[in-house]
Formats: sequence, C-alpha cells, structure tokens
Amino acid sequence: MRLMQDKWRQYGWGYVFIFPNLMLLFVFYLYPLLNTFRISLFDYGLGGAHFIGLDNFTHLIQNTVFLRSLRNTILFAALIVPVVVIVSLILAGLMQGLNQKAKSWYRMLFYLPDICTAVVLTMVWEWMFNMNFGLMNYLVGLVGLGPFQWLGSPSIAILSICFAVISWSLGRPIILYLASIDGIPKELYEAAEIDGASPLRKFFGITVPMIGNTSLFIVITSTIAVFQLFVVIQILTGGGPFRSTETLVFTIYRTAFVSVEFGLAAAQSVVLFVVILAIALLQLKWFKPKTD
Amino acid sequence: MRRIDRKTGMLATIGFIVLITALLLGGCASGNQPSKPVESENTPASQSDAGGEQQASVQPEASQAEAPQAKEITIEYWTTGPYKNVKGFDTPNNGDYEKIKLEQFQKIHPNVKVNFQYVAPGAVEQKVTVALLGNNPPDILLDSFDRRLPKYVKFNKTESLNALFDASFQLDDFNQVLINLNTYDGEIFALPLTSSFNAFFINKTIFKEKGLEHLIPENRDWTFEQWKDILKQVSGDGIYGTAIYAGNEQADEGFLNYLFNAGAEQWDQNSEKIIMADYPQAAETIQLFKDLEKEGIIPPGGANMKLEDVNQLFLQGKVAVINLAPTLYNIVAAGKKDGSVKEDIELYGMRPVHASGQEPRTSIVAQGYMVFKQDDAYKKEMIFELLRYMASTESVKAMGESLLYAPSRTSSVYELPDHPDMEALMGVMSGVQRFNLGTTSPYYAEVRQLWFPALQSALLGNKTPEQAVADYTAQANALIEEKSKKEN
Repeated sequence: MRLMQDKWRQYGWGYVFIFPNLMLLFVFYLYPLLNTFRISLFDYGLGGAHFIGLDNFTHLIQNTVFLRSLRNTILFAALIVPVVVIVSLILAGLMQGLNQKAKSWYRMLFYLPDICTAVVLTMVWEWMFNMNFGLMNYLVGLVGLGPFQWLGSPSIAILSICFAVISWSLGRPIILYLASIDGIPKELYEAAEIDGASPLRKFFGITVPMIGNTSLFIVITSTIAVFQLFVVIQILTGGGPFRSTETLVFTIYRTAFVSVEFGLAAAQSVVLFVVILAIALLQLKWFKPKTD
Repeated sequence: MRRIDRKTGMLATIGFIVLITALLLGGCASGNQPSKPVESENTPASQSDAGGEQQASVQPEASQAEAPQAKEITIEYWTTGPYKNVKGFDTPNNGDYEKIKLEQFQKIHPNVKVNFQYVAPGAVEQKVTVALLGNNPPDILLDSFDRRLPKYVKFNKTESLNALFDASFQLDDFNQVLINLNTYDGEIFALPLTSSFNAFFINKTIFKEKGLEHLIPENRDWTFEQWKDILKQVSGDGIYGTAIYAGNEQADEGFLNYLFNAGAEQWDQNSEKIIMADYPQAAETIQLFKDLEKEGIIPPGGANMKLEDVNQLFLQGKVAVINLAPTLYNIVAAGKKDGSVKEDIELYGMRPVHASGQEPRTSIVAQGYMVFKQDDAYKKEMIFELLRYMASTESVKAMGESLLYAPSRTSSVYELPDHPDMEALMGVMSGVQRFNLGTTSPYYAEVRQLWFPALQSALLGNKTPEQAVADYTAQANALIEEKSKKEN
C-alpha cells in the first residue's frame, strides 16, 4: 500500500500531463473502435438498430462484392508495398552518395506529393489517364501508340491505380531511409572498403541489414495505408470498371452511406481491422529476428 | 513548498480527472444515446425523445404553443441548390441567392437565426444519412427531393407540409405533377421550387462548317435511324457525333434516356420491381452504342467517362450532339463570357431521339424543400413561414430563370426573350411524357448503384448486353427483395 502511494506521488504528475492526450485517444480512436465492434452485431440503418449477433459476419462470408474487395485490397498491397519499399530503398541508396545540396533537392522533389492531398493528386492522375484529352495518351501517341483505355479493363485499371499510388508514396520512405542510412556508423563502411568490398556488396552487406527496423516500419505503415485506399478509387474509377477495382474501404463506404447498412459496414470494418492486425503481426514476426 | 505542491497537485489531479471523465462520459453517453432511440424510432414517442436530445432547449409541446412570438430560435438550413447568377442579384456561386433571401428573412424576423450550409450534391446523401442516424438532421433541406424523399418518408423522418398551404400560399398555384411526386397517402412532403428535363442539343456550328446544316431536323424530332444517319455524316476529322458516359451512377440519367426511348422500361409501374430484362430493346440499344464506338461515331472510353467529360468534349466543339438539361443554354452563354467555352457554339434543342412509332419520353428532376421532424410547434411554424418566403412567386421565378428551369408555380412563369431556341424547344417538349426512373422507390439510391457497373461490363465486352441486362435485373430485384424483407 505504502509502495503504491510512493509510486503515485512519484509519477502522479506524469499521469496528469498525459491525461488530455489519453482522453483524446479514447474519444477519437478507442471509443469509435469499440463502438464499431458493438455496431457490427446490429442490423443498424435508418429504420432502427436490432441485435442480430454474428449475422453480419455470416453474411460477409457469402457476399461476393465484399470478398472481391478483400481480394482486390490484398492484390493492391502485394503490388504496391514491395515496389514502394524497393524503389525508395534504391533511390535512397543512390542519393546517399550525393552532396548535401543535391540530396536536399531530391529529398524535396520526392517529398513534394506528400504535402498535397490525395484528392488533388488523384484529380491530376484522372486527367492524365483521360482517354480523350489525357497526358498519358498524348505521350504514347508521340511514339505512334494508343490511345489506351488506362482505366478501361480491370487488369489495366489496377495497374494504373498502382502506378498513381506508388508515384506519390515514395517521399516518406525515402526520407526515412536517408535518415536511417545517415545513422549507420561510418566505420563499418571504412572497414568494408579496407577489405575491398564493392559498393553493391556494401549496400547489401551493411546498409540493408542496418536499416532493418526502418524497413519494417515502412512495410507495416505502407501496408496499412494501402489497405485504407479510398480516395484514389472513389475519384479515379468509382470502383469500376464493373466493381473490379473496389477496395475494402470503398466497399465499407458504399455499404454505410449508399446502402445505409451501418451494421454490415461495421462488420466489414472489423474484418479490415483483423486483417491489418494479422498482416502487421506476421510482418513483425518475419522481420523481427533480422532486426534484433 | 514542494511537499505542499505535491499534496495540492494530488488533489488537483484527482479533481481534474474526475471532472474531465464526467464531462467526457457525459459527452460519450449523449453521443451514444442516438443509437438507442433509433432502435425504436418508428414510434412517435421515441421520436419526440430523440428530438429532445437534439435540442436541449426544446420545451414540452403545450408550452411551446403558447410561446411568445419573440422566442429565439435557430433553423439549420442545408442546400444543394443549383441556383446562381440570379437576375438582379450578385450571386456568382451556388447558394448565394438563398443566402441573400435568408438574410432578408432574418431582418423581418430578428428572433430567427438561420444557419446556412451549402452541401455538394454528391455528398448530400451521405451527409443527411449520417445526420439522421445521429439525430441531428437539418431542419430544412433544399435538394432534388424526388430522388431522396421516398427513403425519408418510409422511415418517418420528414414533416408533412399540408399545413404550409393556405389562402395566401395556395396549393393550386403549384404544378400538380410536382406535388403528386411528393404526396404519400394524401400528405405532401416537399415544397417544389423548380424542375428540369432532359433534351438533346446540337452544336449547329459543326454542321455548318461541314456543310451539313440541311441535316438538322426543322421539326426538332428524330428517330433512331435518322439520328444515327446524321451522327454518321457529321463524325470524322476529330469530331464525334455524340458521346456517352457510364463512369458513375449518373449514367442512368444520360444512358437510360436512350433505352426508354427505344421502348424499354427499367422499373414496373409502381416502382417495386426491375423489369428491364423483359425488354429486348435494352440490350439492342447497348449493342447500338458498342457499334457506334467501333465506327468512331462516339469517342472511345465511354464506359469510364463521366458527365463532366462529355460536357467538356461538347463545349470544346468536339462532339456534335449532347443529351442534357436546357440549363446548357446558360452554361454556354456564361462560358462564352469567361472564355471557358468555344466562342462559336450555337445550340439547337431537339426532342429526345426515339424509336420509330414511339412517342419520345424524358426524365424530370425536381428541386424543392423538405422539412425534417420537428418537436417545437413555434419553430415549425417559423420554418413554414420561411418556406413561404423562400418560395414566393418572385423567388421561384428568379430561381427558375437563373437556370432556365421550369418554375413550380403558375404565377412564377417567366418569358424567354434572350433564348428563342429554348422557347422553340419548350414548344416541342410540351407533349413529351416523363419516364419512370424509379425515384419513388425507397431503394432507388441502392438500385441506381447497380446499373452503371452492368452498363460498363456490357460496353467493355466483359458480358454481352443481354447478359448484362439480365444480371442487372436479377441483382436489383434480389436487392429490393432483401431490403424490403429486412425493413418490413
């Protein structure tokens, strides 16, 4: 008892200081999260809310639209995340050898899309992909190709979306990789040089293992970001052609706000939460031993 | 000092935590409450409870009726109103005219505060739904009421407006077709302001430049055969005959026009069931457009294009014929002034293209006011007063004229001295019937979402037109059945 009182005296003020933040976390994250779990057990729409147990989840298993969205989302993650990680790592590696001024210039260049909203960036891509007056068809037209329907068939539309998303997703990983690479002790490179290691050998033998934690962070955050793709789908394709590019978040949005089935949408959100959690845990498990 | 600080700090800590927790839990509790009344919202008693939560200051009905005239009230006014550039008013943006009128109303009634909010038409469905679920809808909504009202009426969310009409604000002065659109079991649920219809527009300049002006029908009427022949002749050299769009749900307005005028139907008469698969004309018309795309008469990529893309092509002088509302006259006139539209565009309005032996039909979209459930009798009366003010003869006339929409009131009819072509178009459109878009179905919004993916799959060759129409019909009917089973 006495020990507890002493501890409280010692750390009491600390709790006071973190309290406002904790409450914000509770009100804006934890409470909505818990409420989503609760709503997922209800048939909840304009007509009222009725407890239906796990019916929403049973419905999801048979719902082809939802299953296709889940598959699409996993496909987007599988296509986008590795490219973002590898390309940003390569670019950061190439920028490592540049002088400070050039490094800053490229850093700014790649980070620029990050300060724009996804809506603006997507609208630019919408114009670029436009079949009749878009930049992409103008460019391929210069070499006598096209015009192509960049968003016309499911497979091309998925690749076009990936291309657009990757184009504005490189900035942050590059910054993180550059900072991480700068933190690697120079002695390791000097020792490798003395041993006659080539630049490639140094990159894969020293740089890549030493930035494992950063890679883990980028992989997890990029995966979460891709699982939450919405704006780009909403503006570029509206989920089309014929629902082939719908992602989970887009389907959740449609279920909630078009079909006004908030219970079902909450169940879909719970599934999304579980999938992201599972993937993040798997990624942690795979990468962790290499980073210890 | 330090010891005293610690003791005081400890008390402050506990007090602070208790206070904030109480406040937040109170907030959470009241934030959580809306879900409870929703569970039993169909009962009048629970609605009154819900309203009580929404407006903490709301008093019991009896005392409200006796409330003095000067009682201060706040009215939440949301609008998607398209009216702008109203004659005699500096109103370059949507909602500007309404704001001016609302300010005038507040001067007459200083105890009334109106919170104005413009809502983008694409966001209104979502915004109002969320507000309704949270039990904090606006008091008044100006929107395309025919598209949304059935859902709100079904769930008892809107007020009957029968009491709005009296000797000074006569129901007889309003277009009965528009009134009937929003009447359920004898109760009127929306106050119409304006309405519009779809017609076809030719850019005469393209025909003149190609020496094909003689092809333009003088009687402003054409069958599919004539229309196709004209489009074929005018296409080429970077010009397309017409353009279609199936990139989003607006595809129903534009594309269904062709299907209906080919003789197909989408909904049954009571808007309870989709019957498109019963009409071979539906698949035939989709096939017609696939052929037109192959022949280069319509631009490629229509499956992913949106209304704005098609408008853009027309306004750039790359498309000869377009299917749109007569507000296009104003868009072209304004665009010529600010340089966004090609200078030489000259519009010629036509009746919708139709199958030989079939009378043309068109879609109507109506704008007007809806009032969400009220508990305060005095506030409701002031809302009605506000509606009467906003829908005065002069206002309806001004709003209609600003977009060349038809006014809902007989006394608001305006002349079109600056738009001789529009006047001629109105003449030939007067006998055109309205087709059934299914807007009276409470499931209209959901069913609407199924059509454009079906159309895309047919246009892109993922399915045959017959398959696409059959699958759409089956999916839509399954959805309607599932929804009505769940809700009834």
